[in-house]
Amino acid sequence: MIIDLHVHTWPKSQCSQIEPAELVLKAKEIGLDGFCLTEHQALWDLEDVKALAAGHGVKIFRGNEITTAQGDILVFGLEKDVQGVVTARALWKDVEEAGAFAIAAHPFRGFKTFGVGQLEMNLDQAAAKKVFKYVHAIEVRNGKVSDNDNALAAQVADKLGKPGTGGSDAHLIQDLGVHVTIFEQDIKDDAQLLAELHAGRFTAGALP
Amino acid sequence: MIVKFLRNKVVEVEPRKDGTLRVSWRLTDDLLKMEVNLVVQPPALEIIEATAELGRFVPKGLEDASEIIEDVEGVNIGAGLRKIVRGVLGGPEGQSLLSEAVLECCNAVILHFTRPGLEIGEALETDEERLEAVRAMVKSSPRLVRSCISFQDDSPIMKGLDL
Amino acid sequence: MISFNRSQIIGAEFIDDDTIRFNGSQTDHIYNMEINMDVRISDGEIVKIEGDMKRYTNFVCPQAVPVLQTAVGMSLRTKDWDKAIMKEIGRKGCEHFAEIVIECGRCFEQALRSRDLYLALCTDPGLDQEAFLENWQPA
Repeated sequence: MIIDLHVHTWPKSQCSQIEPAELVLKAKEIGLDGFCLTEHQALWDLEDVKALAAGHGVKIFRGNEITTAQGDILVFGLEKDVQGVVTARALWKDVEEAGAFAIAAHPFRGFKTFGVGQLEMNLDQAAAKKVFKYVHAIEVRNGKVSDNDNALAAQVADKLGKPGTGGSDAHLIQDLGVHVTIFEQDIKDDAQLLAELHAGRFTAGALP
Repeated sequence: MIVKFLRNKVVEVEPRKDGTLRVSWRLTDDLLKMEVNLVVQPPALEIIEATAELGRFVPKGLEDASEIIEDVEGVNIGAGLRKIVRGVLGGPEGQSLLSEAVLECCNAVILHFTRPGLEIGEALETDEERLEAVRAMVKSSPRLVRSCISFQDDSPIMKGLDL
Repeated sequence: MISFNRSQIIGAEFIDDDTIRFNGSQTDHIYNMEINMDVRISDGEIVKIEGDMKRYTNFVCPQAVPVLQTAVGMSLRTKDWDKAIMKEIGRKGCEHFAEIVIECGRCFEQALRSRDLYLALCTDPGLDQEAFLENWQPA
């Protein structure tokens, strides 16, 4: 099952230009089996998600992208309303208590005018980033970063023995599905998505 | 006409022998003088030292700026920086003068790293070569796409890039 | 040696009782640009703006000059005015123009305070300046 695990919509994410309704149609058009709404520190209401998905044959899941002082973290299965900037360590405590799942989002996102590669960070230095201590997985395919930045994330995931996920981080409709996570099982709801994430039955990839 | 108010701001980045970058930010206007200094450690671009000093008429809430600013020590210049700095220094309603000063220091660090790439492009001989260099830069940097007028879909730079 | 240096200078003239004119310039190793912007004091609305891009990085950059006109009608007193400037002038035009407009906007209240203190000192040189600023309210 192919799921874009990292998508933003307007107005819940003010930086996004994607209307939720157009997202469903686009997902179907490009062949996604599902996508996950991961707004910035805002969790969708379950009933609203069900209404959005109704009759379209595309599964919609709920996550949340939390800003921590050590970097952005995607969380799944965490209902707590986290506001402001927290530490990754404090978020990890909440994640563990809730049995949720945490992914370091775009951990090596470069800058508009130069990539992280220019900083000549070696693999040991990259892997020592504090955020990795407080996540289950690492986003190794993110649509908003360069190939080099994604490659470094993948090397770090390998080194740390953490699984890698993929998501578009779409803020514009044309970005949806540029990177995805491929799950071994069919997934019907948030609870099952969480279980499959914890089971590690997924790989980062691209649409066929 | 004589101005009734004048503000001068300067931010400087100075690479040091130990590999760190010293960033010095200073503001002076008719009512306020303010100085922020950061030491940034590559390659993670971690802010390892932060100091602030204010004088003349200090705005309310900034009397303890020299202590408050220490909270950005340990923050990396990177993804989510604006939200992190604004959050760490007191949230959106908090110490905006201080957080904006820190963000301007961080922006200067980013421009310090941007400058060499632009110089390489500038040294190219023909307009075509320079255009190709800009196109290569935008191809390797998804966040540049639609970030300003030069990289909007209808810009001549973006023609044929399909990004 | 300094590897990157940026200077911003913002000046404020009061051209009539209800209009403040900002001149803002920004120069650094990479860019050099300047704006003039008139703001209506009573409601903070930008009523006139013009810009000059002197040093930039590619041939498309100067096309950001006309985009500055989208700032006309925006008010420096609305919530998140600076975000709106960065979105409309920065993303659709030039981020560095937006930085100057935002710095002018940040100087708006400070310029009014400065003018009022200056005028008060003209009539009362012994004025307690701190107390004056503490009690200061925009007219």
